[in-house]
Amino acid sequence: MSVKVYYCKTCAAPIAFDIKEQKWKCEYCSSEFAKEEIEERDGNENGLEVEEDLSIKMPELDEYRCNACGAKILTEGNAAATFCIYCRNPSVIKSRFSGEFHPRYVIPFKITQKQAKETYFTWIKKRFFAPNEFKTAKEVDSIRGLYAPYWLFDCRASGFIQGEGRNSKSWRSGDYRVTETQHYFIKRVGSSAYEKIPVDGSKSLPDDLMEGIEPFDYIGLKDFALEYMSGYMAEKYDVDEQKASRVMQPRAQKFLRTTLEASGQRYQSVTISSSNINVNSIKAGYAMLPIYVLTNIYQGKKHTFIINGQTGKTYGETPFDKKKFVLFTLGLFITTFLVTATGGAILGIY
Amino acid sequence: MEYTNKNLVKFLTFFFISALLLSFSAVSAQELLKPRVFDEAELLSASEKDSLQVELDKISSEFDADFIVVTKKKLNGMSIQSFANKFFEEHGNKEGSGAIIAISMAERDINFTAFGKIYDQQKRRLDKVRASIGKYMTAQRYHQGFMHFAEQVRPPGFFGKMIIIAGYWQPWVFALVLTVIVVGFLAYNHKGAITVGSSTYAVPGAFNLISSEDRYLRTTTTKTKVTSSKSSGGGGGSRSSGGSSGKF
Repeated sequence: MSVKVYYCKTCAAPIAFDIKEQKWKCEYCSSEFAKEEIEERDGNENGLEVEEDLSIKMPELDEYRCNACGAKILTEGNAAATFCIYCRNPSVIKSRFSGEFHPRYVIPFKITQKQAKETYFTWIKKRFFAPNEFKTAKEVDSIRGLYAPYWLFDCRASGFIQGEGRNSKSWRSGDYRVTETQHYFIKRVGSSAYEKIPVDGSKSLPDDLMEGIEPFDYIGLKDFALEYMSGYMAEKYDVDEQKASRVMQPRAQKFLRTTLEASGQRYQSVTISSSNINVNSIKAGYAMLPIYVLTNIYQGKKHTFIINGQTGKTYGETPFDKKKFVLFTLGLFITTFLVTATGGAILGIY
Repeated sequence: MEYTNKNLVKFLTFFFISALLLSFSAVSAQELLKPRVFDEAELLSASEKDSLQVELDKISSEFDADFIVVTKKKLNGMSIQSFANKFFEEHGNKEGSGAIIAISMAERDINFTAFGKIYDQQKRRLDKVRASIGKYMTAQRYHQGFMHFAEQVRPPGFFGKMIIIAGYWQPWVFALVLTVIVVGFLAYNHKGAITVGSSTYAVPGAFNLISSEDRYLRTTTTKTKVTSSKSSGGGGGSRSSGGSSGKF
């Protein structure tokens, strides 16, 4: 069986992961299960599948059928966990989590869909020039929770920076201000190690925005289990480890550069003229990290808003209503001018 | 009803006429004695002089100031400004407020000088008033120009003031700056804060500063002159005045 559905122990209805309880909950009879309980149940029910071995690659099938109603599941793009469009039952496509796509870690959702909607609403309300259609409940409803594929990189970085440091002091002498600056040649050589630098493994998620919702709290990091995917959308990666590593390396270099700059003797101002930093001992772990995504399409341009599904940190772009901007600016300018002129006339300033 | 109406009309007419007469007599008692038109260059006819005198009397009493028009054939080397000042002190007043238009035909000089309260009202418009009357002088429409003087010094009404204010750059710049600040504040499209720093993913204690070099290179010194501003002291206690001279 390549589509996985987890069933309630009490009433046999499909169950999904509940954020508030951090447990699996049955929508129908309100029973709650810990991770071990559903695993046990799973093993007993299907004697053939005692243990899920995701390290073995499973063949990709042409089509997947819902275990609950038998309808064909739409598996567009890289969807690995989804819902049956007919019976809304959560379905997890095992082959898209197996073999090379077997994630090592997962951080379960902590932010509920409701909280995510509220977060977006507060955020868009503050964007005065955002088009009004993006401030509606309908738009807010289209926010969706997603387990995004991530590469977590461990690495070492070593290298040097060199440049000039300056200290100056200034005093007054008669009619003159005297500034004396001392120049120093500086060089710092050092190394450091970094743990779990995240890089998203999806082409459809812009890297710069994904950096904005960092950091994830790795205390919540768990070993991956398929059960967590039940009730969410999830994607498998389409950016492999090699490509993601090329995104990570400049970040690690920047981290070490900043640390080196801040080490040793301090100066009032520093200019770095050259630096060379090597990143090595790179190890990657594949992880599923929780995010909420909302994409506004305005005048043919995509604007993506992202919420960290664990910490609630937000980052994103807002569409900008030019007409609203021009009208408001003109209105404000004319009003201010009239108020100033009227005030001037009444007070007799001129 | 008709009866009361008629009586009311009668009463109002009587009241109005007597008020008018009273004000006329008051004006004639105080002001008619003071000549305000000195047409030494003989540019105005007798009737024109009279009508100008009436007009100047009117604004003089309205503002409690002296408004004077003087025309000269020539100044004999005297500057039109000092002539105007001297003439106003002789024929207008020494302490109070007022304004004078002086022209000299030989030099084709025109001067508009205001004193005291009138100066305070007109100080930003001295050149404008002078130039505006100067145009009439150039066109040899002397009577019209001098009558225009009375119009010019009367402070503008509310909308007149608004139009004058619109002519200055300050309110435009103020409105522009305020708009830019407010719109800038509202349009500032904050994507969110980046909270990841160099230490976020660093393994604690893993940083190792292998070597650190600091070599003194040189010292540079710059000197800039500090200009200390000194405020200039105020003048004496005389009344404020100012004038604008030009050719016509």
